[in-house]
Amino acid sequence: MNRLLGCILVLFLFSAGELMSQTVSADPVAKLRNQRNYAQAYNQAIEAIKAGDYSRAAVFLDKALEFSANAPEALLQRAKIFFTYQDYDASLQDLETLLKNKPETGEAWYLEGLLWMIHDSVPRALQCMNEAIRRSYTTDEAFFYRGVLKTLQGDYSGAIYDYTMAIDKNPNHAIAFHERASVRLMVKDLQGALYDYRMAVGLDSMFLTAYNNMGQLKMILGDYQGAVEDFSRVVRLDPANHQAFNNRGQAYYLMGEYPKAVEDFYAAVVIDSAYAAAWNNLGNAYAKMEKYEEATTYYTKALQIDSGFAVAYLNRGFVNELLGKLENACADWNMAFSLGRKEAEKYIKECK
Amino acid sequence: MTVRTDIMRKLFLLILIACLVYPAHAQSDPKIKRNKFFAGKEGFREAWKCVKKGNEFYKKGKGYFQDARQLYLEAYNYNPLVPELNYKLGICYLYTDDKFQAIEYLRSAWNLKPAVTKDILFYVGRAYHQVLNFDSAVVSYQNYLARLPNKEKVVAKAMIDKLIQECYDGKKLAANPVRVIISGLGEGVNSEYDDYGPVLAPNDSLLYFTSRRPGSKKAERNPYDNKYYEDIYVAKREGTGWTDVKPVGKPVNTRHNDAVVGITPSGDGLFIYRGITGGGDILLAWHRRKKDKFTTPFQVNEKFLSRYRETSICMTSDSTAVYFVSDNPSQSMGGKDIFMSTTRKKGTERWKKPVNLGPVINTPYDEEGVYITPDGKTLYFSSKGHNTMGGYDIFRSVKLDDGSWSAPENLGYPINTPDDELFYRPDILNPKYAYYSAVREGGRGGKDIFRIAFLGEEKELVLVSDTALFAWRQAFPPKAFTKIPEFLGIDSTLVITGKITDAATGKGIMARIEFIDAGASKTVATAVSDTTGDYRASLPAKTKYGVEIMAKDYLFFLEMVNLAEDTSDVLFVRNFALNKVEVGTKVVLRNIFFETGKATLKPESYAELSNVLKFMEDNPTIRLEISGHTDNVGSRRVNQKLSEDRARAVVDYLVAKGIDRSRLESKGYADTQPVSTNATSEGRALNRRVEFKVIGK
Repeated sequence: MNRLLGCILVLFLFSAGELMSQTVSADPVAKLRNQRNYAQAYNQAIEAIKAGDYSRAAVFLDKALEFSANAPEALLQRAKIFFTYQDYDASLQDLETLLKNKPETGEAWYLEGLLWMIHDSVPRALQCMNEAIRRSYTTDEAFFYRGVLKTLQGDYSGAIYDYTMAIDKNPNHAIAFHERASVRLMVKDLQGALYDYRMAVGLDSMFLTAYNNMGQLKMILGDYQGAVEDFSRVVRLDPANHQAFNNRGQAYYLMGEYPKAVEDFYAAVVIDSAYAAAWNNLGNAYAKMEKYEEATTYYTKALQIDSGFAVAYLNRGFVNELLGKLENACADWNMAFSLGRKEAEKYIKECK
Repeated sequence: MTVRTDIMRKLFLLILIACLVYPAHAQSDPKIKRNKFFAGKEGFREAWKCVKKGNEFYKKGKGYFQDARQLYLEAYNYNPLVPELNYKLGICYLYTDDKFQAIEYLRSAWNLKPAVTKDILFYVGRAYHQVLNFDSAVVSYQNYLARLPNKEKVVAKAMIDKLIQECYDGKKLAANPVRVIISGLGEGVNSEYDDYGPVLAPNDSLLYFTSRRPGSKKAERNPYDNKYYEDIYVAKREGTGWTDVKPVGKPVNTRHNDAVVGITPSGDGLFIYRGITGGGDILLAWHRRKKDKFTTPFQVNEKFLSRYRETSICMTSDSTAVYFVSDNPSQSMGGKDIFMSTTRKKGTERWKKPVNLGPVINTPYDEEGVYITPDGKTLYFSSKGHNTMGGYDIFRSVKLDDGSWSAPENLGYPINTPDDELFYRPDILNPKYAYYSAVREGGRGGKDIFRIAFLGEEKELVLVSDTALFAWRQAFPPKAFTKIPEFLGIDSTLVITGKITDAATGKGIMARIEFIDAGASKTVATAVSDTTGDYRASLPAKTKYGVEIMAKDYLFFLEMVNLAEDTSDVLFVRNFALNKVEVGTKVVLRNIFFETGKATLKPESYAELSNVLKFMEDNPTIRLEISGHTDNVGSRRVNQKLSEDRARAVVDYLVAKGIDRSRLESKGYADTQPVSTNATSEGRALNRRVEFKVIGK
């Protein structure tokens, strides 16, 4: 008897529960009311976003989500607000919730991809970007950042394709031209790289990195005068750009104009006295002018700044050799080798 | 003797004859004529004295050219336009230090008087040769030869050809310099006098060398060349330099020339060259370490001696082979040659007869300064033959597997120059270095001892740049909001629900409900109530609606519902009660409109009339009385007619729509059946109406 009563009780409770759930879920009025309240709160949030008041927008989105938990639009916008305020964990949480329920939201994948990039998790970021594009979020920025990720992974042809797509979507994407140029440089398509750098600076005349890189490419191509012009442009736009001075110094150096090279290398270290690269190059210029003792002081200076500067050891070794200080030269080459300059090995063999 | 050796000997003899018959190496001594020298009274006397004194020194030979030069320069200051004076100054400079100055003076002499001497162009060539201006040297040599009388030309040709070949070889060597750093051993080892012949002790700790510096205040000069006699010195190594330089003293050093030419493998014995002994022999002196003194030098094994000059000697480290230089003409291929002897038994003095190293090593010209590496495999020597670029050059040869020697290789420029390079000694402990004697920049005067540092291959300095190749980080992370998101459309749907009941019984009835947007006059929703009378419909907005309800056997229902006044936002509840169709039941048609004062139906009436039409169609046996009513404004007569006309208009409409006229009656009641007061405008509006009454079922 008790058992029977127990069964009946269970059956009753189950039915009541079922009825309640049906009532709740099937209550169209409540549903409609929630929908309307959600939409109102959401639209208020959008108004706030329009006005640039993100914190107010976040309040409205929180409210909207009370009416419709896991609503994809609200989650996406809130994730963007968290992203803007650099609360990346919160942003990621919202996106993951959104994508669990609505995996077809391409923009959410894109945003998540950016977040993984911020966390330096390249494979995961690439996965997200792939999803974003697969889900038809095919904006220029989605292709661009996927291109960046492919570059980081060493998939250069893939990166070039994506940058090209980004440019196709947005022909004024100066950075896409620049990145494509740099990847082309890595695959030795020098003319292609030059074209892209030119496009980048054509679109953005203040793109100093592009001028610097274009100048360096021109040096590789032997157009030293062209390189000087590019670096000079950077220097004019940014007189404190020590890298441009260093670069221009290299162009003069390669042209054999060592006094001018010295001037520029010196300018670089005046701007940044800890710029070890320029100290090294200053040493090189003096060495070319056969002022070997002075050259060694500059290499030593570079090494005082950066004791792991293998190239400075290598160069100082060369100059010590020219000074006839063969033991010192060998010691320097040994240091250079131990710091990773593998070519020093053949010079060390000369010491034996 | 081989055929080749025979040819070499004959060639040497020819050269020797050429040198004897035509002393091209001996410079001329043109006379400076007093009357040609005179250029004015002032200063002439002193200047002429300098000329005469200078001539005395000049006649004595090269050893005195330094003194002659000083005097000639004084005379030159008085009169620089004397070709013979310019020639002599050129010669003095050529045989002392500044070859460029030699060129200047010799060219001046030529320009002033091309016939100043027969050999002017020869010495111009020599001067150009010395400064590595090989092309100009060749031209000068060729011009010199061309100007010689035929007989002299034949004799001089061999020598000039040799010099020209040296220029060609020199040009090739200078075009491909070897990577070395050559530095003088500094003060102490090198002096302003000749210092040469470096010999390293096997452990590298001591350096023996020969110097022509004055060893003491009583030091004497050799009258032959006006230089102090040779003495042997020793220096100690200190780090990379040499210090504590001192003469080795008696009995090694004597009043005459004593030069160090080698060292025993153990380092305890010094080989010494003494010119006064046996035509120039090699002696050996042992070093007693305890007393730090040398024994009296004694002649080496007679196998290595002759009545001619033996000037250099070297042993392998195992003491089984000796190499030495001798100018013994019966065994030489020309001038000084290198010989080798091996011991019959190691550790003994039983040496085999020396053999000439042969034409691969030796030439018709002088070989000197022999050195064999301790392992016996590499031979270094100086030679005026092979492809020298002038004077003695250093050569290297390696012993091949069959015991023969490889073709000697010139060590290259700048180790070798057109001047003499001699006594090459590699640093055994550090093969990157070697020592030798030469006349070159970096010395302190005359011959000096230099250290050669062998550099490896040419190395390229590495420039460093650090411009970032990629720029994406400059704009990272991008903005999340690249465009304003779109607003969501708000679903303003309302729900209206309620019950349709029988007005009399209160029971639910099935009916069809239609909601008409009053403003748009458009049906926006329809619903059907179930058997319980419950209905539900969705309406688009919270506004005024006309509600029309039809049910079988019931009078149709028409009412306005204004949801705007309702406080609810989503759900509205409205219940409606319908009256059954009974004879006598009246229905007021509120939405029948006429033109003012007329019986013309306005189009907005048609909706209502359609309902009546439908009602009659749904109830085919129903008979209706259509009645018109007015308020009490105006005359009774007019109102009566108007009300009748209006009722008739409605009937006509229905008949036109297919209703049998027999089912309809029209009546006008004017203001006789008010439903409200006529005292108010609202009441009067209610009274102005059209009704229908069921008069038959």
